[in-house]
Amino acid sequence: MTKRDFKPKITVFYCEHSGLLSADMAIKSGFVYPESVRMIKVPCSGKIESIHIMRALEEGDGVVIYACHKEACQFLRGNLRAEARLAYIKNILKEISIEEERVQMYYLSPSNGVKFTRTLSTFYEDLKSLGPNAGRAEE
Amino acid sequence: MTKKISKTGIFIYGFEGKPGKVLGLDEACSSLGALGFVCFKCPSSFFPGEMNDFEKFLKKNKLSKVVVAGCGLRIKEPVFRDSLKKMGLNPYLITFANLNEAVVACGDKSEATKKAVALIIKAAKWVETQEPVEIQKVSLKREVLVLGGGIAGIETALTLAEGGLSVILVEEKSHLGGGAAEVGNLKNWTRDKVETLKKNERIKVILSSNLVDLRGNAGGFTVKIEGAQELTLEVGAIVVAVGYEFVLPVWKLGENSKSLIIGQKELEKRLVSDEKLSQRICFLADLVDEDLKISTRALLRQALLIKEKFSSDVICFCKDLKVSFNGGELLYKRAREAGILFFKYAEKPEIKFLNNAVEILLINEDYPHEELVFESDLLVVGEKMMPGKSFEGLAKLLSVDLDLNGFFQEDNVKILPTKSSRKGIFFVGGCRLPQNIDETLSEARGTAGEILSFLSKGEIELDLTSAKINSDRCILCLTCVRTCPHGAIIIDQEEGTAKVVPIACQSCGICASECPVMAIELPLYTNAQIIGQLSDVVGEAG
Repeated sequence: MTKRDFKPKITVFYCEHSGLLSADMAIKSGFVYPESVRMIKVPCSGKIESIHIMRALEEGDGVVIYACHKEACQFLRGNLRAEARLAYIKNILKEISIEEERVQMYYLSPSNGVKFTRTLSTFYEDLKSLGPNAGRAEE
Repeated sequence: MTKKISKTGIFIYGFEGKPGKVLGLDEACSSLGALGFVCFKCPSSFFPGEMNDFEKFLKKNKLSKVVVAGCGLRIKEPVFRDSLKKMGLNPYLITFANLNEAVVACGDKSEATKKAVALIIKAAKWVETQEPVEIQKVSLKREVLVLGGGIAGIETALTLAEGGLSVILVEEKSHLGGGAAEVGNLKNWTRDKVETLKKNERIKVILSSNLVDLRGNAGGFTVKIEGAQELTLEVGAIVVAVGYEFVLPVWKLGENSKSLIIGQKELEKRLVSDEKLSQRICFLADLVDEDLKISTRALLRQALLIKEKFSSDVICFCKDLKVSFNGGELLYKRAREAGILFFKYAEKPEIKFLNNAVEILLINEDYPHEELVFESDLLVVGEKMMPGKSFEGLAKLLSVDLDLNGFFQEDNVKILPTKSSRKGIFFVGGCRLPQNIDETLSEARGTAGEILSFLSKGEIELDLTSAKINSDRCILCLTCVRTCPHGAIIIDQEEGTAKVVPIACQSCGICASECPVMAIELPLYTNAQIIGQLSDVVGEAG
């Protein structure tokens, strides 16, 4: 597979209170984001466990987490927990020499379709230049 | 394999506009049918017709689990759940596949349909492992504890009593009325309110006492009150209506100049006691709190009163006059007409203390930038409104948060301004944010309404979507107790396990992801369900 044909597979975990609504807004506004993205809804970004992210990396090339802005979490500290967990995961990735950039977290307000599309598209392009994930399980 | 899947029905409803053109729904239906699903494409996207079709579809195929696929489903979710409830089915054995994603991602019709099918299969996978959610009845105590006997607490208590709940009002001081009792034009009105409060049979007032202990959760708090009386009570909800404090900005003053400068609160006391005031009075506003309109209102009212009573020369220095309260513009206009002078400053005016007067040097903002000098017998400055000394201890006791300024942090500033992060605990009035009296009153009535709708039935039906703790796995590490933002987890000493209180849990799942032994699961978002979404399904692009 050449670099040009490479379609990175992205898993998006989004919080019901911001990411989901932003994605809806992006669709309503007619924005187009990459197709090889699978979205998984969670009640709060604090619900995303390390195992979910690691398994997602086994199956795909990158993971994006959409959380509410800091101090605007519906459940007060959920996004801070997610942030801490992400730092922990980046450490693990460093140890097993997988690029840290494959996991990203963005903060969104509940109807920011523009930022949702922009960050997702940029992330997609970044993954394209990084190439396929070495840790991805053989099919 | 197919037999297992066939229990799940798929209900697709028709689309208008772009989605209908992009997706080949009939093709999707037939390819899903080939996989062994019972599939139905609803012709209308009109609500009542849709629901009839939905119910017919479920009855005909004797389905218990269903996937609803369509666009813009978020608003319709409760309608579908209600429909299931009406038919005697569990309202949580349903998932929603948002086909919008398929519409956006692909330009090609066959590819978009493929993606739509993949999305529906994933949703079906999710619902297959979904356990039915039970419903539990919880009884609620019909008593409310109100902390603080200021105007916020009084108004809340009166409205609650009117609604038929019994109220226990606890005040730290030995008298009721709070800050409003010291304000000239509110004095009589507050006294009347206190009198009606004392006459009310449903309200029990406890003076010179404090809350010292709190256990339990919404609907059944056990509170301990100490002070003049020692009491242990059971209440259903708690209203925090404690007051804030006024602090005068710090000045370096000599002994003889101390009497030249006073705060607005001190001035109010002198006005109430009809003390003769000096002939030249200057107000200096916006020195500490620039964003609160409460001091602007007091300033305008006091300045007008002085002008009318003593016909003194009154000059006001301010950064911005905030007149966004009821009748603010009118008050300002009346002040101008009465001959009160207003000067705007950008930098703090220089203040010199003479023997018996204050000299104020102000650089005029407007052109030409001349220096203006004023002499005055009395300088009145606006105070800073600070959180009360008891706030920190009280917050710890109630296990709620304080904001950056030390006031009580509401759950959501915009849509839930009086709720705390814990269910059954409410904030009213100045403990949340210093505010004008009319705002406080409407807040108090609103909160009382909220509590009435919560408690007045005496019991509540709960869908048990709250987190569940596996008691065999729990090692009592207290991680969940510490991380729960809603104080919903308690330790059951007898069984030796942590337990979630369903009424307080808001199903955020933070405890589930923090638990080191994976003992906690969120019924609607189990680990198996989330991980199941990660693997590929037939026809998925990429």
